[in-house]
Amino acid sequence: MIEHDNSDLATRVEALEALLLEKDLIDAKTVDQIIEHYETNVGPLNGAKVVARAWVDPAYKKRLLKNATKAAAELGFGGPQGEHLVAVENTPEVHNVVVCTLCSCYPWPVLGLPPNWYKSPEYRSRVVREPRKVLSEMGLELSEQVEVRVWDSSSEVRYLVLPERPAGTESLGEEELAALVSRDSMIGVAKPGQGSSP
Amino acid sequence: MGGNERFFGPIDREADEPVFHEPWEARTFGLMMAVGGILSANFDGTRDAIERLDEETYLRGYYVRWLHALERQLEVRRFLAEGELDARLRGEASHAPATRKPPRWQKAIKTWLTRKAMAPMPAWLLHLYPRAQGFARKAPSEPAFQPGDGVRVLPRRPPGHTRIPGYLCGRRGKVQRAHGAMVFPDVHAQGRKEDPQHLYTVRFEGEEVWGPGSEPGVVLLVDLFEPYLEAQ
Repeated sequence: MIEHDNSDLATRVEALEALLLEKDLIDAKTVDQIIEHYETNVGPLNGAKVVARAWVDPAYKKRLLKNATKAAAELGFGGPQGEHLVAVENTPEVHNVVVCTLCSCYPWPVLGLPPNWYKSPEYRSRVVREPRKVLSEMGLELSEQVEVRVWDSSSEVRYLVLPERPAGTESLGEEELAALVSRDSMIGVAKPGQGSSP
Repeated sequence: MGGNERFFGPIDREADEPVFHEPWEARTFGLMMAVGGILSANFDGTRDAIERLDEETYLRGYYVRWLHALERQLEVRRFLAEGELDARLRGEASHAPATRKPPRWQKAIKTWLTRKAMAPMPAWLLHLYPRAQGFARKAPSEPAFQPGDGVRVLPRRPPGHTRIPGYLCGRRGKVQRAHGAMVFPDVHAQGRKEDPQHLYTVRFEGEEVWGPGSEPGVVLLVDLFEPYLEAQ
């Protein structure tokens, strides 16, 4: 029933919006505001600020690991898909990586909307089964001594990876540290400084 | 999808990926969230509608799935008549079907709240939001399991909507964390009843799930509701 073609899809969505407006069920300004909010305010820079704060402030890190929803709210972040946030910490012995095999659950308030690869059947099917191979293909080699923990987001709990602070960054301030924290490092498929920048 | 080799393949990462690739994707997202906020969507129902898509439609992409699920939700909840959108697209005149409409005051309040949440939120709202919009509920009973308990996932996925990843059926794990009770998606997807159930993070060793061929030192952590689990 749904067409493939981009222009058909565009026509269909346009007609749906027109119907909803005629029926006075929603208003167009709200739709515009929602899109703008996710294009400008909500993105991985939010999560990067959370991570950088945890790196420089041990008391904040403790609060983050205890209740990430509240810790993110302290920095002004929250909203849909972030009602039950949990931060999981990488250490020299443990590496965490996040997926949603059932759909594409993702912690929007701290990472923004998910990238296509995260929503792809390839990532969703493989990372639970062969995470080391997937991570290595994505440029992250882990020693066999490191335990790989794959978090499959099957409930309303959303996971944020707290990566390890890179060595040699002792002199950097919070803002410079945040610039090192990529989206992919907070999903767990890269190290800070690697992958997409926030 | 988890572990299903039919879907295996290279993972393509796009550099500098935009938030939306096409304007209609942005519009679909905005409509879904507006409908969700103003008409109180049921996201478990949305997920259920997505899972019912035929594979070809499903694999066409994320926002195609969303668009389909949005249409279904609107029809099921009688905000749109069955086939009304298709009729419109064929250019047929609207036959003014009897669809629902929330009271004006309700729409006004919910529009206001939605617009508050779809902007940087003030501290009071950030504090309130997870409690008002979250899924935690008062527990109906004492939890059956405690951290450290051994559990086994049901041997088969129950019919209808469920949040048991198929690859875990019959597998044994250990409760790592108890989250308290949350809205139970299996029941909530059918309509309004929430039927809260205890939720646990369960830890599974790779070998238990994938057998001796598992990669070494792999652990799976999955959130599972109490009815999905048996004591082990």
